[in-house]
Amino acid sequence: MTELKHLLDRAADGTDTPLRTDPVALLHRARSARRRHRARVAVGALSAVTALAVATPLAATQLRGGPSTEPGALTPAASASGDATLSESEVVARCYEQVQSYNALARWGAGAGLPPRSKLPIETYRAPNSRRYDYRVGDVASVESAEMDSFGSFYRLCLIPATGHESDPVPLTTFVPAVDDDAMIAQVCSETEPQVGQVRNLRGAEVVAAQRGPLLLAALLRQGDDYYACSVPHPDNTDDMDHTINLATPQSHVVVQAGVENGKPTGPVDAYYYAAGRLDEVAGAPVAAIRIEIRDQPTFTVPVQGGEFAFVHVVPDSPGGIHGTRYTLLDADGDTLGEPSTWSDAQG
Amino acid sequence: MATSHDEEFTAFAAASLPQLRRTAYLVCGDWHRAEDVVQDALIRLYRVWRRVERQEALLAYARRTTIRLLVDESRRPWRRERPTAGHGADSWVSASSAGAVDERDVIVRALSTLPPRRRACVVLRYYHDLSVRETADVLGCSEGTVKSQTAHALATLRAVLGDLDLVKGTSS
Repeated sequence: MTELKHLLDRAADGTDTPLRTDPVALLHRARSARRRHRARVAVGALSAVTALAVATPLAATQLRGGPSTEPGALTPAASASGDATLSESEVVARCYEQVQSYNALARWGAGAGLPPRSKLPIETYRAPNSRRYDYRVGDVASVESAEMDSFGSFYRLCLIPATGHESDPVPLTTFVPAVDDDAMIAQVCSETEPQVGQVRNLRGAEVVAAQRGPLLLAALLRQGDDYYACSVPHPDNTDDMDHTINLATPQSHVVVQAGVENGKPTGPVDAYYYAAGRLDEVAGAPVAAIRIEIRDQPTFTVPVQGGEFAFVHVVPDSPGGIHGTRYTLLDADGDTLGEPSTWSDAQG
Repeated sequence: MATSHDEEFTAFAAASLPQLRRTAYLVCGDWHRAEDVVQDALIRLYRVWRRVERQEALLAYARRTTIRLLVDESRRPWRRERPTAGHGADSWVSASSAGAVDERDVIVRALSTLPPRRRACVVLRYYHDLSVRETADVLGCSEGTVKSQTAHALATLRAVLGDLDLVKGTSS
């Protein structure tokens, strides 16, 4: 046995983590998924037509500290926090109607020719981060159902409404904040899905870099000595709230997030390339910029200020994603400081 | 699918889950995510059960689907996030690493420094002892890609793990 085989065998010893899958329950899910798959195949042609209908032209990206090309999305009247701390059940009760309205917009819902997502009972919902945070009216809270309907899970953000305003519409764009809306960025980035990645209370953290595209915000937040990179996609594009954070560890090259966002299947197929993080000095010289090369695309440069950066780059009409990327670290004179290992190809 | 097939599926799921989850864990570094992905793979297997049953081993299909889901998930819109260089893998390694780092953590942390496809190459070649050709079949790529990805992966692992003689006695 090789040393590597030995290490892998040891690492794969999962006796400390018991299985939680019930094969019979899995069978029920499999049967349900098969029915859903058949339904999707049946509406495929209709989805293609819908894609033409909802396609929208790209807007310019919005860079923190630069000219704003998009208005902030948060409804001002809804952002004023109330005084009383809300219990989990109170958060769920206030958010229920708002969440239902988002579910009705879901990708595989009525817009794609399928029946609307089922309205799950309020009793199935919870606010998973309520034990971490003291929520008040006007705060952003995550709410999810413990159940799944045939289209998948429900993990949503909610702007907690005041009493009597539970049915007021709150646009989904509220949750992709403007680059200068520090408080909203910090709130949304604090509401990542516990089952997907880490959750960190970043309220009060300083937003040190941010850029926003039509469907995505990338931001770098500083909390004490720690930095967190946060990406926030447009929720309607994913049917979910797949925003994530990553700790930006200072000893790494720290491009902690990079990725491609393609738009939902019924939307425009634009590729997004984004990252946020920190860059230490290289060979004693501070990094002033990152030059990014994407195969078959014009090269572009991202400024790095004080070692901090965040960017969102949109490559229009790229249904196959982005292939072949390389980045080079530059000093203030534009000279090469280093070429770290490349981000691997990113495909949508 | 007839009831008998349902019974076969549940029996197969119960028997294969532990092994598939171990494979998935080595690729993703998170036991819960590994189990979720295996569930998804088995659900997909159910959809094509009869065809797969006729054409190839069910376990091989389930393993291939599990690996591809993990590799593809890393490229999935809205999900893609990775530390990319240096030692920035802390956020990727599961929360269990908060305690004492034991031998198991060492290789998982080392794997976390690799891109997903290279991780999969290492797991398939050196955990499952698949040949280059079999690994290429699983990943849906050329044998040359497997060789180069594996070579890069081993070089990285050697740099991270030190002077361990990782693959002594194996052939490519």
